[in-house]
Amino acid sequence: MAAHAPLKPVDFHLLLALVDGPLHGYALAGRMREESDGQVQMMPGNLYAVIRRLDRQGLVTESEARQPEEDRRRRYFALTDAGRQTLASEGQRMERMANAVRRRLDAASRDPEVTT
Amino acid sequence: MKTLDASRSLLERLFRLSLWLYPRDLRQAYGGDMTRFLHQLEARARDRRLGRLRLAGRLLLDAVTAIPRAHRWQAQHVMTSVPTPGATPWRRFGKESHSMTTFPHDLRVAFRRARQNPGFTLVAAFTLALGIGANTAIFSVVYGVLLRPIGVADPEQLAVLSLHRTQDPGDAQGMWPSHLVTMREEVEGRAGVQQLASYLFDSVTLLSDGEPQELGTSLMVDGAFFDTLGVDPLLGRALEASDLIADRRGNACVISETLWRSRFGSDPDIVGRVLSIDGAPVEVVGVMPDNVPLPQTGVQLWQVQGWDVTDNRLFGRLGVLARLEPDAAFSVAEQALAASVTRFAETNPRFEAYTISLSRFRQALIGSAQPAILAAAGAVGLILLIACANMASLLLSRAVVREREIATRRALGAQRRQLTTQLLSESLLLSGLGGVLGVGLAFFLHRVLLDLASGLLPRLYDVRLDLPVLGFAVGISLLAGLVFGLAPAIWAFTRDLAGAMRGRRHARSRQSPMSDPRQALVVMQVAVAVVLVTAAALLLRNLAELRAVEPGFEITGLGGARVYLDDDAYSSDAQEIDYYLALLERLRATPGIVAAGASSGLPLDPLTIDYDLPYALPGEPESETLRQAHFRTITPGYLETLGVPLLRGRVLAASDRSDTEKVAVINETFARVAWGESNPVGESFSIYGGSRTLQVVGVVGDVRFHGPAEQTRPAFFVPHTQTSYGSMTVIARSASSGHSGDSGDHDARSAAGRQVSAAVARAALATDRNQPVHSTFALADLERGAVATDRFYGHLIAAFAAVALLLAGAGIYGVVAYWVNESRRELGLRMAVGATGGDIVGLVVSRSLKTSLIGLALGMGFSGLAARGLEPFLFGVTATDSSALTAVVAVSLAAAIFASLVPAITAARIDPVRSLRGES
Repeated sequence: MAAHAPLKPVDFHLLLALVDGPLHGYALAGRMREESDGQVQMMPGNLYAVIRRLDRQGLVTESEARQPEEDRRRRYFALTDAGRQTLASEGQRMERMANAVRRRLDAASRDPEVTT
Repeated sequence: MKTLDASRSLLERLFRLSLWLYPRDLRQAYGGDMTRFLHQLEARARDRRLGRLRLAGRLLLDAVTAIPRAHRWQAQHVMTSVPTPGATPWRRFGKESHSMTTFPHDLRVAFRRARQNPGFTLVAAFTLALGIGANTAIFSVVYGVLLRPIGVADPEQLAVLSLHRTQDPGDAQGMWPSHLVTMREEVEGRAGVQQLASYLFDSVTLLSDGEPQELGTSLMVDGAFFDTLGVDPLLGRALEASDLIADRRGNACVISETLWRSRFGSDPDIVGRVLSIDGAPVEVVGVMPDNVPLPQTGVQLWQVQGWDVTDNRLFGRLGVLARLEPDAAFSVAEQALAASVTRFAETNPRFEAYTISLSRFRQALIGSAQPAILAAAGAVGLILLIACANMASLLLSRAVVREREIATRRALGAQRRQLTTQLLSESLLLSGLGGVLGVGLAFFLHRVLLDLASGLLPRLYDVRLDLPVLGFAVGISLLAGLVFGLAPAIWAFTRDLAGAMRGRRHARSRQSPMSDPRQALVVMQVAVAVVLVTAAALLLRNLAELRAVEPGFEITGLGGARVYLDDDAYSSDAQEIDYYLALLERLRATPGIVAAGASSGLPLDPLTIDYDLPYALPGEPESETLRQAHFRTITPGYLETLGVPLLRGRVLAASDRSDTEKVAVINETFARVAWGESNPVGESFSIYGGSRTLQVVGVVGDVRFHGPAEQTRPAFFVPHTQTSYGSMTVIARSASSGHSGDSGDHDARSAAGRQVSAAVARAALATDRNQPVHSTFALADLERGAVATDRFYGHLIAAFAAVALLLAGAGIYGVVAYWVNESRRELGLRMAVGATGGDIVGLVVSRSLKTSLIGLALGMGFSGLAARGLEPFLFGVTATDSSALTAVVAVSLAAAIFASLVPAITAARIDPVRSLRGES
């Protein structure tokens, strides 16, 4: 799984947005915007280019999940198992990084000279 | 809500077009979803200000970044992936992957080629930029004036009333307040007429925060005006019936967005502020956006006013709008309103000869401008055609040079499609470059156009370079690239493969310079340019004719002012007569003023309201006559001030008083129509249904009352002492004017006239402090205004014709230069056997001229059709005007010769020895 990490921020947010279940493109973009506090705003061209790349990499796949009355042509996307694992390992990696940062900062605040 | 539909489909169409730039499998897999995504973005953008424009910007940014990314990822994938059949759905592209990557590849190759050959690239791009820029600028006018939805609710239910003489529907004028009262009582709420509203153009002086400011175009409106028009304010509210105060101006006003921004610095708290308008406190209740459509442009302020039916300053000046029921029949409403006006005339005999007609709001707003705008659009479209032909010709020339390369690639098995995409991507690159330059040029031309057309075209506030207009620019650029990129592609597949590979260029050099498709292109270019040059020649001749028309009076040094006396202060004829006599006396005593007079109406003045009165000759029952004549009441000295020549008898004098015999001075046309060749002095005619008989005491020269293009009508002048008017136009002539030869310098004449008009305004204030003049003018400006529209279109089409000639000349130049280069051997040989430089120049020019002559002949043929279309715009010039056509032939031939002269001179400098050895 290490092959995928570290993920690009856009890929990370896209995978993260799919954790709760399959979404169609517009909803996916909306979820990504929400979860990134407005940092990641996807327009159709880039969104679908990224989806296709992640699809190729096997992290995302098309899903049959669809509201019964909905337009049948509308595609939903879901995390693959590989996608879920990649996201999890990326999460762990980020956690490790965050811990490392916290440790260093804590140490620095106790002993200010370390930082210089 | 047509607007949204129209521009949505445009944005969506552009978006769908952009999908073709993505890799094919992405487009096929997700194109539909991407479009659905767009729909949702659009739905969200709809409620926001500028939402659509912002969305367009973001989509553009998105496409620009995503397309190269998608191709890069695609390419990386193609290189790294091991095709495993049936693994995942997206791997189905396998075989097509090559063709999918060719477009960006082709584009890169095209870029490289463009950089290698900057001269060619720049010439092609600039040629196209001229065409695209001019077309985009004109399209911004076409779109803004003719196509953009009018900014009122349901414009198709809105109508404009006009009052006109029954016999002359073309000569419309405003209505009387009492008309409105009658129509409101009888028609409003019936016959499909929902509501009537009225307005009056005026000028007010605004005093707030310092300097007084004259607001040239303000509108006095009744309480129903904004409701009837159906427009929403930017801030605050519109004027309502509750703001109205009977018989006078109310103390509420609405200001324009422009005034709000320029004068009040976009103050968000403007609503509620009290301004001083003409000395009275008036509260601002709202701000109106700049696109409130009215027949006149640039309204700055709307103030509410209750019409006083006895106020003669309002007579014949009210504009009236009618809002019809959604399902109302236009003709029914018109009949009901006309019937009301007819009933009104039963008690007001002066309106017997008048009726009203209803025109649709859109028609009233833009109707008269439409044909000319479309003609301009057609003309500029021809320029694009010439520019495209130039590009096709240039691309063909290059395809010929690359004949060997193309033939080799074909022999190596290159698919027709691959070669076509390669050639197309080159032409698309050029047209894209031309489009970008063209849009830049359009921004400039757009500004110039707005400047020149100011006051001449309606709805200029709606003329913008926005998304639909830019979409048009993109569209024509793509079209130009596609259509004219195909020319060399088609050519490339009709060539003799083997011969080309061997490098044979035998056939062409023996023939004329135009022995290939480019010959046809040059013929077409010349023909089209000739059509435009003909149109320009006719319009310019027309303008010269208009300028040469003698107005019938001396314009230089004339200025004046309009005075509308207050009814209350001047309630009797004697008071009015004394006021004008006192004012004129004061004026004549002013240093520098040599003559002064006043009249109920002035020639060339758009604000003058004309009356044509029926008249009868002795022994002729008036009821049987349809004869009418222009009626003016004047003071002594008026005709002399204008400089109208006296032909017989005498002019009006101070001795013509209310208690002396009723007299009139008539114009030449009246004399001829009524009395033929015999002397009319001493004859008489009657007016007002025979109740007044006037004796003719003199005949004066004809005056073109309505500008040079109008026929002179019979007219008669009566002394104001016998028919008094409260509203007169006072004119004066300055001493310096004389009959000098400076009539060509408009600015000087205008300045001299304005000095005089300022003197008139001062004299009026000195005569009665409480009666300031209504407005001032210089006759030179009025004269210029009378032909302003003709001048605008004449100069516009002339500019187009010049560009067309330039482009056609560039086309000829390109083809001849190419032929000279190809024919070095032949030309060298001729020189080796004794041909002089002059012979060579003659040879080259005469060969190219043959083609130009075919184009010229063809163009003259088409010009016949174009000229017929122009006839409505022409005055005193026929479509077959010989001097115009001679000029066309001369100018076109000169351009054709000039264009081929440069390459011809190059040809004459060929060194025969080197060219025969095959060196260049």
